[in-house]
Amino acid sequence: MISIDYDPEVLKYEDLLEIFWSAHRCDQINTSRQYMNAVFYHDESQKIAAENSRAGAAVKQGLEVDAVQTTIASVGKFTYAEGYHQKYYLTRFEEIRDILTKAYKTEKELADSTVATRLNAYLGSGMKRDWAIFIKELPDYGMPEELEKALSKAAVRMLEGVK
Amino acid sequence: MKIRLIILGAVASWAVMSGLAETLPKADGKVSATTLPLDAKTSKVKFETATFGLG
Repeated sequence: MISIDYDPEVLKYEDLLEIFWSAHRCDQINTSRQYMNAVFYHDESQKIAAENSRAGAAVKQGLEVDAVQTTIASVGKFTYAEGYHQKYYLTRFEEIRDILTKAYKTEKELADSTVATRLNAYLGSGMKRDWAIFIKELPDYGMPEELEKALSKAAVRMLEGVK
Repeated sequence: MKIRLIILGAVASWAVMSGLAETLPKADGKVSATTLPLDAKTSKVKFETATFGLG
């Protein structure tokens, strides 16, 4: 389960729904609650948006709406996962992980951190990344000078590589 | 007697296990990370939450 805090001025809930539907086969039967495909809505407007998006997702995957197995349910109470599940890709970057662990004493703080989330996504995930934004934001990450320089240099290389 | 011992053993194991189990935090609608500059900035932004499960 993943919980995303987002700025509605920048991103719409519908955009997140689109990414969610495209990230899984929606005719896959949920066999366990722990690993189920589901939209957990927080309010009525999210419920309506999720239900409205279901048919479109089915069509995109060449399915009848009735074949969709993805659950749409109320979120209830969200419990954070254990620390070792948080910012998983950063476990490969000990220096960065140590800096973040010193800055944030609790696992909840680390999980809530935008800096940790950004670094995790940029350094580890295979998702589309905008290195120009990364370079621009980097001074606000509060990393030690030398590390910041190294990250910036690596990002510039990535930026030049994709041009 | 045997049944009593089994029950006692089960209760004792449960008591030890629940003592050892990590208490995980629950979402409270607040962003707790504010130390680093970007976190301090984003923690002031009014946000909404989306929750998904992916198998």
